[in-house]
Amino acid sequence: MNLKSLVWKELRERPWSVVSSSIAILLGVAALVAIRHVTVHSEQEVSRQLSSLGANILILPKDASLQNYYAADRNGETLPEEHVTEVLMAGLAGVEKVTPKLSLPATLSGLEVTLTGILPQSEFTAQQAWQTAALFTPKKHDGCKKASHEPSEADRTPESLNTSRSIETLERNQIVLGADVADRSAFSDGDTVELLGGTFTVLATLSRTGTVDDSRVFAHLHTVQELAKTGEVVSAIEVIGCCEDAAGDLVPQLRKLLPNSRVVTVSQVVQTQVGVNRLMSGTSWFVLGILVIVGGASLASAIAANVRERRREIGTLMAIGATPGFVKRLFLVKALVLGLVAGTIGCAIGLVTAVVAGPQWAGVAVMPLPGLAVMSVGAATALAVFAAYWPARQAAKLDPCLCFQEV
Amino acid sequence: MIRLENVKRTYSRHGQTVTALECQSLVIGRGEYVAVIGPSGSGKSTLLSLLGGMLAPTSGRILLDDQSIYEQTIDIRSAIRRERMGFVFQTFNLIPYLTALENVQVPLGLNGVSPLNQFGLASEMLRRFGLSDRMHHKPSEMSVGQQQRVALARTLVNDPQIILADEPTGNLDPASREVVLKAFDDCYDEGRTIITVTHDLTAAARAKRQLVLSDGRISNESTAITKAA
Repeated sequence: MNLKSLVWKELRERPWSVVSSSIAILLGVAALVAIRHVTVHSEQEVSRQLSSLGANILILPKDASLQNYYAADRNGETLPEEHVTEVLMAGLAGVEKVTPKLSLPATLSGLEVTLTGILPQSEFTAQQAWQTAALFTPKKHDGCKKASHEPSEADRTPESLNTSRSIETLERNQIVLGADVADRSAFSDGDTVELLGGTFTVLATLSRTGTVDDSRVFAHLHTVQELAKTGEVVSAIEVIGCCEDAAGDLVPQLRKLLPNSRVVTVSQVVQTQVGVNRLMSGTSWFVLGILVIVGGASLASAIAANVRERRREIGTLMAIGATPGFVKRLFLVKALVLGLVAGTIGCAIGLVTAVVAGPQWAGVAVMPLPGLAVMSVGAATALAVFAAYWPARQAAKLDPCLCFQEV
Repeated sequence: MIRLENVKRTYSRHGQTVTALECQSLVIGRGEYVAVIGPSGSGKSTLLSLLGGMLAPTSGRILLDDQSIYEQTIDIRSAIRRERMGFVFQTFNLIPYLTALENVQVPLGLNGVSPLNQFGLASEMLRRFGLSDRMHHKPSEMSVGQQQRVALARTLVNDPQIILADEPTGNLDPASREVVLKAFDDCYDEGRTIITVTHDLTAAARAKRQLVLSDGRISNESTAITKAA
């Protein structure tokens, strides 16, 4: 029989007391872990979206919603393609790339897909008018540390559609398949396919991004315009600035240049999600406050009550030779066990809740974050020990003579 | 040897100072069997607490083998109780959520005895008190007499030199009472010092020396038991 077995036996003897004294900590940790997991993954998702879109500005039709853009803008309004020329001719500082896109619904071997026409970057260099506008010796943006753009080896592969949202070369009869389309259609590189009445060769299939791009089929913009008979229009123009600051500076200039269009930055596109993240982050701190105040007070009160009801036992232990330090440790170890168990169970409940409910709450897939889990359990344990310190100290100060008195 | 020198213990109650015990000189030799008798409130339990190192005197000194107990730190006093003293309580004070065996193991654990040795020593002591078949029973599952025997086993398991007993037969039936008194006789024969506080004059008569406490003072020793009887 030692300190640990005394604590264990006492805890086993009073299971309901254990539950009631640690329930606040358990629920607090569960809520905190669930909210933090969803928040962290939501923030990562926003960050990933920002990263995948680069230092982008979107030029959209005046009445198009941002949601339409993320749904591939298949039924939205369109812009005249000549806006691309206007942007290039304006010679705005910091513009690195301009990528017009037209998205339409299409059927590929019975499969519903989004056909996105995109203008390859090589076509800009081929057009004399744009060369004279000096786009390909772009004006450097003040404060931008980036060297002027030269296409890298990576930019020359179709995978650049994922990494820099543009493609260097794409023939009129070539298509690039998103990962989902490739999986579901079973087409692979070099296959010949029929699309919108035209015949195409599959140039490449893209790796999975987890975005709407996985469901797209990319083809040359002008081929798509011809086959769909839309005329020279586009759904959106992505303007890639050389840096975030450049993007910010470009927005008012583009709005002035294209008053009948909607010009937004990527951060504006995701601002709703950023707002939700901020709210959830704030909520998680609020829950942490509740955990500290309610959980700590609840446990401190439970340990204090436990000390009161075990006064005779404490007196007996002291009479048979237990030191005040031993008595103090008896209650601190009990609190440590309660904090550890409540923290662990709470963490497990929070994790399961986040994994199951995360997609519904924030539309993001949630994976367990070991660091956060360990930190939550550690915080719960530390809080429990801290809360129990005062009642444990009072127990150690109890008068052992009380075991000679009737209680 | 235990010696009390000019010991006085007072309490403050409702703004008034009450003297619970006053003792100019008392010597209890090694191996003595002493019964302390007296009416309620006469200071018997106070004396026991003072001797056990749990209640510091307001003035005076209590010496155990010439070592002043209350000049030691609280941890050393705990060690003295753990290693040299054993307590028997009127209400047994067994820990309710532990079995008989575990209750007897507690003092061994406090003394740093290994779990394996704890089991051997504790089960042997329970066997000595005829409780082999009750080792894994909790106090609530045992009779009052059995509980006091478990308490005695717990007291003796660390082989203490001094036994301090507070009304050890107060709650017992005659048969259980006899078991306790027989255990004290055995301890006396083994050379231990026994100091028992009791209302039970028959039990007190088994002691070799009787002290009568009245209003916190020790009166004549030898005639006290005769008069009371």
